[in-house]
Amino acid sequence: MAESQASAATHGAHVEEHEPEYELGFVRKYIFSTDHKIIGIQFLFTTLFFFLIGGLLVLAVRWQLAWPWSNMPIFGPLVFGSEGGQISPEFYTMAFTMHASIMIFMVVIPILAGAFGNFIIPLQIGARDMAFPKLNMFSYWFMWPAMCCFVASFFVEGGAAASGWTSYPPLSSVWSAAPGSGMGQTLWLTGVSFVGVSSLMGSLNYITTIVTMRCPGMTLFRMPLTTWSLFITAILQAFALPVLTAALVMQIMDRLAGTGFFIPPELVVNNVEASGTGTGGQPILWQHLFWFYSHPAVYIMILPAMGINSDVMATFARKPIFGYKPMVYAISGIAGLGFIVWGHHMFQSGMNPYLGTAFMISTMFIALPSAVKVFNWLGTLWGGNIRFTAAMLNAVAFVSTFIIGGLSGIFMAATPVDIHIHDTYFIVAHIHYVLFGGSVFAIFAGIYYWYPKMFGRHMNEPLGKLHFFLTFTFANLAFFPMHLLGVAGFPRRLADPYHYITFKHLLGLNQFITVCAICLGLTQLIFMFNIIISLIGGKRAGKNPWDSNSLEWQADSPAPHGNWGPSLPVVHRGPYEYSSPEVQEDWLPQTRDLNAEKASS
Amino acid sequence: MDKAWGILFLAAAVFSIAIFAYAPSQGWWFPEDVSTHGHEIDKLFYVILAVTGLAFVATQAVLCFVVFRYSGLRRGEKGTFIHTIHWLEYLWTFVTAAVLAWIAFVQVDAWANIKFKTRAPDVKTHAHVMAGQFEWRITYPGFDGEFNTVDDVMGLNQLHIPVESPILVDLESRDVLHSFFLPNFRIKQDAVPGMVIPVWFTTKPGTEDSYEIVCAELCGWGHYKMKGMVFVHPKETVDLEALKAEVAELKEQLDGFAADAAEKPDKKKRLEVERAWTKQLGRLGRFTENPGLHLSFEDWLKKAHEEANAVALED
Repeated sequence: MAESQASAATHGAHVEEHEPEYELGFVRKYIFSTDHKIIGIQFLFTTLFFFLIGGLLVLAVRWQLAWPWSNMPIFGPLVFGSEGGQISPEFYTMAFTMHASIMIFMVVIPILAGAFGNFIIPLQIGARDMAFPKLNMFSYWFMWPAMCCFVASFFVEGGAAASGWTSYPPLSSVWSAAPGSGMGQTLWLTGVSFVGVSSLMGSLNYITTIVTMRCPGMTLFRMPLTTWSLFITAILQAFALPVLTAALVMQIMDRLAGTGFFIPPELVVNNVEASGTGTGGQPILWQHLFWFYSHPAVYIMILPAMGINSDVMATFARKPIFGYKPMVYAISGIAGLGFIVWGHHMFQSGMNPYLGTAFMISTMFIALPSAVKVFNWLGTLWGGNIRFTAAMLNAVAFVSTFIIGGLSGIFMAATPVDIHIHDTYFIVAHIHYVLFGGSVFAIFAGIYYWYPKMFGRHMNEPLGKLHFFLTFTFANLAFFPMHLLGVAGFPRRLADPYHYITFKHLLGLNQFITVCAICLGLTQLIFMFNIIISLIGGKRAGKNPWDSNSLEWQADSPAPHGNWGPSLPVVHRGPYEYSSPEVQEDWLPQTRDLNAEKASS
Repeated sequence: MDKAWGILFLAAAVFSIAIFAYAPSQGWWFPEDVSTHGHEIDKLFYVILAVTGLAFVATQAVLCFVVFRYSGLRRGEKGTFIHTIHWLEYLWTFVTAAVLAWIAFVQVDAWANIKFKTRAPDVKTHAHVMAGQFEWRITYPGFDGEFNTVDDVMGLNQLHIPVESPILVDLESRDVLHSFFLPNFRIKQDAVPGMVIPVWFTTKPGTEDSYEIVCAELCGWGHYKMKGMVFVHPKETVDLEALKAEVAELKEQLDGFAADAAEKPDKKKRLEVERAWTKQLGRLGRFTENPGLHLSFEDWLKKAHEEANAVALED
């Protein structure tokens, strides 16, 4: 502890010494910044931009599912002019691949770990910046090659990647397999590798910062759950990413250097012999390596959301988090078990079914810590004095929808049931309840909550509430019926499912989903509008507009470079002492020294 | 005003339950199951639906209750200052763990029956199914029972099987990944190049009809059109003329009952005839819609063999 205090103090001194440098130029201050807050905000705006792109792509997918082979209005003539505005199956395949890839790799992971991780961690633990500010800057700028790869891939021959966000070989690794398996796929693999490098830089920074730079009095069990979840997520990333990176490099080698890690012997695809055949590769090996990262990645996308949610809920319920330590243990439990459940994506893959049974059991038990977290959130609300701000509404919505996403996971974990629902819309429903219903609601909650700290202004509350109401309504209307499609066996990723008699009658339900999905997309314009106008016209926020306890609310809004002025804060208690009988107010900041107050009075 | 949010969360929960209740009436539910093992999957689904449904109702009820009960900002008032209740934490952790453990163990056997090679039926391989962009190539061993001989019968996108017999199929892929999905048989298995994966199933009695094969693993731009059919043949070749005559005769009997309605009709007998008529009419419809389906599998194979020979001779 003493050591960390010392290092924090040294770091503080170091920053002060260099502070004048940051006043020098716009470029150093706002573009190539090493300030964690600016980097966080850079991540935020970049990811929100990609959130729109990813959203636009899915409109094409939904259009095709509702009105197959009919001309798409507005976008159709622009994008598919040569086909008279009709979506081709090649484009459809590319659209869902890039929708998922962008939403996962360019939006949810970087917004949670990059935007919130950067902005929140030093402020919540009382540090002046990250342990390695330059590395931090690089973690943002390594996203740019990734973004360039993704964007450029739409314009190369054959178009962007079209083998699903899971990029299963041989479809993804053999050039002749599909139009999208050309240059677009190579750019996809390269782009995801850069995202990995960026995430790894961030995660090493977060781990080091949290371990060494907590301010005096900030013990591990006094850290807010957002920081806890980001800490555990960083560890998760640090261990899982090398495996993904290795797999990506192997697939790039298969494509470019004639190796055959994932290509079986004598493979001929589309009348062309695949390069690298004869080396005896195995397509399923990719699935193991990919999911060894990508299942933990699911938790990378939900754990920080859970942390954010806990902070928002405690603040606006005016109550301590119910079961703080069980919450920390649950996060750790999810992270630990997260490493031994990857095989549940592969029950029908040809993997030995005995292994399926083992993965089924571990998967069942990962539902336990998730359930414990839900119970604790309900416990937090119980007996509270709830303030329904836009942030809080999104946080409660997270619990409501995460329950659905969590419970539907049990169906897929059950190996026999998975036989029927695997690769159907049941999976699509589940992932959207966890990633949209879960992560995105928590992201909204986090943005409404910390916006005053980021920009010194409030977001417009009535607009926020309207945005919440419409988002929650349309998200449920769009995603819930997908469970039923899945039960009916409706497969995902089919450009035209209706020439199967089995699925013909599901057209009407799909049209309903599409209409709701379009409304859900339009609703997000309200959010974007709110973010932008509030920058200029938002109500000015003080240091602690929500009467919160955690440390970030003791810094100015927006916090200056170095965060804390001349001296670091000193922490006296945990972050959730709301409604404490020790004081008259219903909040008790971590920095308030009651003993000193008593002594002085 | 704040209490109204409770209504919104309640509405979401009610919508979820309502649409699940409404779905079966609209066919947004399991397709007809014609396999002998499918009920195990469906049953397990319902068991999990019951357990998760209970958890859903309980947690959503609590959520709506707390939102409704504890909303409404009362400045100056405080929330309850409580950090945890230990026994409650232990209780919900252990109860949940026990329920999950129970769900985990009740399903082990069903999975084993469907997928463990040791549980595969002790029969000869019925057909090789070779998946490829974007078709299913199906090879039967012919009458010598051996594959890779001149007597093999090959077909495209049509898998013919006899009703009520255990069927063992060897699944392969010649290019990329595919998935052999038979929604009506509750079968799904990826086809992987370089691997031969056995798949087995048996159909229930009275299921002579055609069913769809869906490719469920993304295999390229034409993935959506990779459709096949399973034809379930009767045990014995059905004499279509005789069946037609039987249907006509049953219809006559039924009309007779209608004419006699004024007198005392034998209701039981009438119902019996009506059922027989519906059943046979359905069979006739299926056989006429799917040419060749009325043949027993052996007769169909003989015919396919002869046709293949004729084509070979012509060449």
